[in-house]
Amino acid sequence: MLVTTLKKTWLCGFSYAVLALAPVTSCGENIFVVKSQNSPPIAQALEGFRASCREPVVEIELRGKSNQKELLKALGEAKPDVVVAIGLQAAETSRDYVGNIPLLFVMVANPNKRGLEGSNIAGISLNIPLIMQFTNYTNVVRNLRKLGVIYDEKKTGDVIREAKIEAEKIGMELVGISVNSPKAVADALKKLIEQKIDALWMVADETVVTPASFQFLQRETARNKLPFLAASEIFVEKGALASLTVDYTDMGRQAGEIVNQMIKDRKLFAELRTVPPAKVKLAINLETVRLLGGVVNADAVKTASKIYQ
Amino acid sequence: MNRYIATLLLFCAFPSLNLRALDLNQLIPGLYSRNGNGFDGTPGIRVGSTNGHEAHFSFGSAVALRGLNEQLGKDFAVFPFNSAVGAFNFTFDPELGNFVSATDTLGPLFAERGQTLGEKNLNLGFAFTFFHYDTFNGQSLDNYHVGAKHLPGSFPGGNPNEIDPGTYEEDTLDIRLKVDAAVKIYSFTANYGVTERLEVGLLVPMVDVDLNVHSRWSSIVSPNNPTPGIHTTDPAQGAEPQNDRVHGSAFGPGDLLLRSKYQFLREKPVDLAIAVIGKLATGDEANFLGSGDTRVRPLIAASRRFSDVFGKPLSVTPHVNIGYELNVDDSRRNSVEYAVGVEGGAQRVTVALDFLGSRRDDDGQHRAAVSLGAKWNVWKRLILSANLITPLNDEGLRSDLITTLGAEYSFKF
Repeated sequence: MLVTTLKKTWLCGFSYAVLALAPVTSCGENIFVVKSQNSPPIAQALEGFRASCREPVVEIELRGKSNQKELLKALGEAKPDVVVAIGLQAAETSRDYVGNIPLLFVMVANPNKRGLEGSNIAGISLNIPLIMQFTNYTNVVRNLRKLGVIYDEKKTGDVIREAKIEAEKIGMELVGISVNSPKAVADALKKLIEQKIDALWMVADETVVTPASFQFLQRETARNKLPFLAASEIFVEKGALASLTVDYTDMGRQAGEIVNQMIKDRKLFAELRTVPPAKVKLAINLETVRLLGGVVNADAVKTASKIYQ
Repeated sequence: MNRYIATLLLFCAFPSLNLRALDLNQLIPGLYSRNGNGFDGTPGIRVGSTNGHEAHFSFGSAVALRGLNEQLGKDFAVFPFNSAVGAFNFTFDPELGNFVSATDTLGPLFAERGQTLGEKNLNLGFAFTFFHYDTFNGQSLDNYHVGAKHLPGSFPGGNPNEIDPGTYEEDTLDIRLKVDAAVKIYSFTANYGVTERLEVGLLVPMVDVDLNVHSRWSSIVSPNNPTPGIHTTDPAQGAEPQNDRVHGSAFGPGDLLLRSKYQFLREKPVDLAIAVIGKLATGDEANFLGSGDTRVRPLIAASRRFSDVFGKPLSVTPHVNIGYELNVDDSRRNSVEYAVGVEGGAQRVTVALDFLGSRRDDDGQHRAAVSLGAKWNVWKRLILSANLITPLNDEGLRSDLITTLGAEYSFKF
């Protein structure tokens, strides 16, 4: 009973807010931001967006709302000029309700696999282009010619296939071993070491990376003085050599600038498609650098945006 | 058998030091029972009498003091023990398509949660706990009164088995005690993650007990006594001195604690673990360093982590523990043990609040306390902690404030 009342109250409140905004936004642009949840990365992206977007913004958070469809239906009916969806859930849900309203998604991994395509859909992917990753890593690790990776064909096989092609472009060989369980990680690493890889690259593969397997990989790569290039900064803090990750605040800023340009020239949006993040962050663990000695390029360390001692 | 081996090992390493000839549990019963200084060397209090009858309070007062001592002894050496912090943890965030740190807290201080340390993680810790006992069943130990009755059968021609009404046998003794019991515990802990879901550990407490007891007896004349001056405190009439004082201290290993925990449910929707905590009777019971009983406590620990609360890198983890402590040596002293609490914070700082409770089968008493503490990850895997426990009710032997300061460090292999 109480829940129903609350839902009705919220919906009424939302509708009133939309209606009340109409006269205000009529003199400016009407921008709705839909966010999947209120997690720190999304909060950072929104902060970046607000800092760069010059227009007033109405926010909708989806997580915890049982009336998501009603909210988005009301959003579609309010006909904002742009809907900015931050996060995967926000992007996928908004896509179904925006109709012809321009939808700009932010922070979505592999958007092409999510059906986030269309004449009114553009966005900023979470994926850092593989060539950019490999180029950065060759700057960090001296003489990086042969890169090893452990992956699960079912989860990240397509990423690895693409990565092999991209690696070849810069004269690097990517040696991948597919596993179907974390227990197989130890054997896979042993085989990679036997193949004399120059560094181990981690992809965001749930089969391979578990707390226990990470500890094993971290320990064994350190023991074999093998640079360990991680998928996330959290692993660098715990001993991996380096990671290349996106800057969420900058992704929000990038989205704000796209919206600003789109408002100036509406035709621009039709030309936009999915773009990579404009800024990436290199994190380096200094203790691991010392352990690896001359393998790591000292100049690259100076360019790191985050250094863990 | 294991008990004796453990005791032997601990005592070989750290024999308890008793800085007085008597064991500490003999101090209170030994009041007024030494030779010299006007004391007659027999248990109990000898009261003077003006008619030359033997004022039979010795037995009653000895029984009263022994009773108090036994009750105190049951509660002495029953200390809370702290839990270990979990390992580095992360989860895959489908929203981000990448791994994120599981914004976790540093764990509760005096409760278990449903998570385990993680495989090949070793956690070593030290804690210093100190407190004074302040009350016993709600009565201040600064001014604790014990009563003693006259023995029946001393009134000429009276009932040999019962106190004769309207006679001096209705007089009683009031023994006022000031018990100053200070306890310091130096605990060394080690916990190790055997597998991702199984951890084992031990806690070795070194206990320092200092007991100081002041006593003063006085005669309470019954209004029914027709000869009110018959019982006297006058030494010339055979009375023992009214004041006595005993002091003693002991230091040595307390009850060794062994623990294991197995997590059988992980975030579906809660972390659920079963733990078994064994307390071996390695502490010297006679000196209040140990309980004298071997106990085994199976318990269930459940916790649920709520990450990114309010959109911040904060985590809130409510937890519940419920267990039953089996006293191997005396099943009447089995007890239900529970803890309900919540810890909140992040991987740098965590604040934990717990309600701790215990209900023993023998006396039916329910001891409840609240614990408030904080953990601070100061450097790498070094964590400092501070905690206060204060009672919520009066039952049993209680301290107004139990303070614990600790440090722990985790290693991974």
